[in-house]
Amino acid sequence: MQTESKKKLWRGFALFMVAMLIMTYVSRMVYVSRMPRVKWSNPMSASIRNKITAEGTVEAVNAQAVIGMDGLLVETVCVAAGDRMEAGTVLYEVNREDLLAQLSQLEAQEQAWQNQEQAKRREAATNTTRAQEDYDMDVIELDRRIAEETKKLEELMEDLDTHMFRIPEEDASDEIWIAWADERLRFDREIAEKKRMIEDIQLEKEKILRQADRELEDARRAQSAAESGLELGASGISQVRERQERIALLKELSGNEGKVRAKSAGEILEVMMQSGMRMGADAVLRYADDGGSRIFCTVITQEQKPLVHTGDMVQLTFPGSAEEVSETIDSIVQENGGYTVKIRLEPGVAAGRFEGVMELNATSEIYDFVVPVKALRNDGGNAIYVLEEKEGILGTELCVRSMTVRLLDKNEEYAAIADELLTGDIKVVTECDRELENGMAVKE
Amino acid sequence: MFLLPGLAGVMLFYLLPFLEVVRRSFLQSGNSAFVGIDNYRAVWENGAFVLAVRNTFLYMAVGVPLLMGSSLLLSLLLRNLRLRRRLVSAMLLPMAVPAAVMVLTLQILIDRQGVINGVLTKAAEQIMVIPAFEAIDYLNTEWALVVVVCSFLWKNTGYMVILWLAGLAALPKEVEEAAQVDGANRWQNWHYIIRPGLSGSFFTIGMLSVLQIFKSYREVWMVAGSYPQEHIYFLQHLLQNWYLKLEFDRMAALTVIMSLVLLVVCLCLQKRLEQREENF
Amino acid sequence: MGSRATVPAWAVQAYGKWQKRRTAWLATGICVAVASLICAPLLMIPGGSMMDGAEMRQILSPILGEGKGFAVWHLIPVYPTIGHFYRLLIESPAFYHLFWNTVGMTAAILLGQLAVGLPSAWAFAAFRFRGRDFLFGLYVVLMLLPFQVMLLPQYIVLQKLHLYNHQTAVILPAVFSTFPVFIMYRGFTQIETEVLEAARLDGAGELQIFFHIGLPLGKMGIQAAMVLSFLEYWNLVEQPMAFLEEQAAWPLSLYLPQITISQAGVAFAVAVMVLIPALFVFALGQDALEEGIAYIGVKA
Repeated sequence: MQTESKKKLWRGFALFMVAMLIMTYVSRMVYVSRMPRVKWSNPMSASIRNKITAEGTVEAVNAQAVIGMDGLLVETVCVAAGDRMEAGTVLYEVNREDLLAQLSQLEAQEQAWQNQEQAKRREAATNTTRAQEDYDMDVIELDRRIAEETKKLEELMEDLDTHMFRIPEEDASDEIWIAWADERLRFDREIAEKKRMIEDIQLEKEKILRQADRELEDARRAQSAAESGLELGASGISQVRERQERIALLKELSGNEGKVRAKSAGEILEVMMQSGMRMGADAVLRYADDGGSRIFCTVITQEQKPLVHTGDMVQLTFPGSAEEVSETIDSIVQENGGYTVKIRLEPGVAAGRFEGVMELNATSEIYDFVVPVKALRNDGGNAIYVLEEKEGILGTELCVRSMTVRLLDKNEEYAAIADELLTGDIKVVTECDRELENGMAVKE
Repeated sequence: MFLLPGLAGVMLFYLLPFLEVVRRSFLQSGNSAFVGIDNYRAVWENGAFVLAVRNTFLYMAVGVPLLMGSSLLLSLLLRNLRLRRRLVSAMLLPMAVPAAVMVLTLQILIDRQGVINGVLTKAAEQIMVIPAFEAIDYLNTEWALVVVVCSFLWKNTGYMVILWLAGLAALPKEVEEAAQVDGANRWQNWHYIIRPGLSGSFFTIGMLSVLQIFKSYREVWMVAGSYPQEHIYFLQHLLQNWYLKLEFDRMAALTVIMSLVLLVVCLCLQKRLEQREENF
Repeated sequence: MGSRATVPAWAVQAYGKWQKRRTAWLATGICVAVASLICAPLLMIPGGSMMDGAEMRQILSPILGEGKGFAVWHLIPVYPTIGHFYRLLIESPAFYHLFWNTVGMTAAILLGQLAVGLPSAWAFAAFRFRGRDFLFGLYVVLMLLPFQVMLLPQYIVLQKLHLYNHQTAVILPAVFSTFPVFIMYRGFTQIETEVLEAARLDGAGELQIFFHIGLPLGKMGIQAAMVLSFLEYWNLVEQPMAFLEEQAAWPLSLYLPQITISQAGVAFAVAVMVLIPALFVFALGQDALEEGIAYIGVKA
């Protein structure tokens, strides 16, 4: 009995120890299987290639405007903002009745004006002819008078000569002498008078001819003015020209059945008319010409800012298009919280695109401690886990310790960190298959 | 010789280092200059030493007789009971309890706001109708020594009972029976038969009690720490604290003093015992 | 006892029986009371080991310095849980590590004590040689010296031997402890000297005598020594604390003091686990204790 119960006790004791042994393995297995497995690496000294990607918008630099047909009535608008247009795309139609009415009215005006102009020209030509005739007649008349007077003068001169030869004898009476002298004096007076008269006539002729000449000149000028329409003045001319152009335009439009077509390919940006509206001389439609330049705009964050510089080469792609271009950054401007980057594109690039993606590869300075970005935890400040050996109840174990570091730089793969306690042979946990906690035991 | 390996080990681990300690007790720690009995004087004049000696002796003077007496009484009661084995097992149980758990239990029980005070307060209110029972802060008043003695008794009574029982069992039964037949009453039975028969056990059990009382330092230290209430500041506290403070010179001196005292006491006891044996 | 003449014999007998039984009942009652008083605090352990942490904090809040009034204790937890055991036994191998540390150290100490102490005890018991009494007296004094007294000497020798902070620093001094020698010696002294002498006369060698007479007859004493040693070293605190700095080398008994009162549940769970082997050893060794130590008393 005694030995029997002893045996039982021994058996129980042995069983207990075996159970403890088994449980040791079980708990060790549980412990190890719960232990996060980690991978580690030493921090490297390296630079960080940063790939910055930013989405942005494409904007046309100079939007083109389609000027409305002043005074015409819009019948139908055929495009909307955002539409693509090719050269020849119908933009809108005008009311044709209205168009024809305006056209005929303008044509009538033109016709009237033409007629009036012709009449004016004819009158001026007549005036010129008349002035010429007057002038010619005046010349002939005056020349005849001059010749007449000159002939009279010559007769007087001959009379005088004759008279002189009939000089009284020396002894001739005084009366005779006096009569002769009187005669001679009369002759001298008459000659002088005649000479003066000729001179007067000649002066008069000059005067009359000048007058006639001026009149002729005036007439000619009036004629040439009439012919060239100078007398309408600058505004008149432009008015006329405008009218004529408008007539041509309207004629063309009516020939096109009232359809206004795009002259070049591009995107409609804005439509500022509606059917039934009478257009003014303002723009009714704005569009971006395909041939024109565009600007790519995007906003980068404060963190990205140090990596992006004016003049950096960037790659641009535009979703929905196979285009890929390299351009340089033209400007970076700080704007409400971010930095706006602008890139002027070559004319024709990114035609028809409103969105684009910028990619920039920036290479930093060489940092002392670069770790894979996976090693970084971001729960309240930047921290890494470092692997350390710790003496515990279970002997030397691998443990992780949280270490707060300053983040200098990072990209998708690597992060540059700094801290006074960092050394090159510190073991930084890069991967783990479970959530880590400070002080947790881990396996490699 | 059978003794040699054991003796060698004892020499190596106990005697030789002890001699080294004796040597050191005359040197100054650090520069090893000979200072004569300065260390001893320093120990002697240390207030803590005086306190510790007083406490230790008080503790032993109270604890050992109490333990021996109570366990002897119990073992006398138990001796002829049918339930003896079970009861002894139950009483032995505290020996197996880890010291730390015992300490934990003790803390829960005897804290100023602990269970015992709670029960006492309730009892005072409801049974004795004393409205304001003053809760006792056992560990931080003179009660500390009572607590220590009680826990010492609690832990070791079973052990000593079993020793006494063993001693009693070894007494020849016939003598007692004969005495009973002769009409000896219980007191006579005890005085003339049991007591002399147990005198050998008395020495052994006394020694083991002393041994246990030294060992009970473990619990005292765990309950009250290195600097307990001044009534339970024992020599062991002093030694341990000096060890932690690396005051090896004074410690060496104290070690030597304590060993000598123990040796002398032991020798005296043995002498007396031998004398008694001769007398008996 | 003069009344005996006047009462009938059966009454006297009955009275004597009754009296005997009464004393027996009284004795049993007292002993049961004492035993239950001793065991009462232990009843806290199983309950505590299954008590939910929140419940424990609540009922112990006055002790933890958070509440007024007095702490109470639920012998049967209101919210029982096996969480402490789960944490202790499944989640972490730390407990087992320390457990096997303790098992290893205890086993090494016990075996060492057997190997060293047994012959020593035999030598003291079986031979009379010069200086035996002196040496034995020395052993007794060494046995009685508190550990703290031996702290410095042992520290010095362990430093010299470069054993500090190593488990052998605890094991070796324990192996050469004189206490088991003392107990085993008591066991051996029970062997009659005549038996030994007869054996010697028959020409048996000393080893033969040791193995064929000493061991079988001293069995109980040896067992008793082993049980006592086991209980001593199973709960070792001071030695490892003084000589082992590395946590990995610690025994289980040092794990417990680290647990504060606020985590008492785990401590109780540990206590249960620590108690189990000790109880086994007790159950196995109680006879040995009773009978083995018996010899302590007989002859001084």
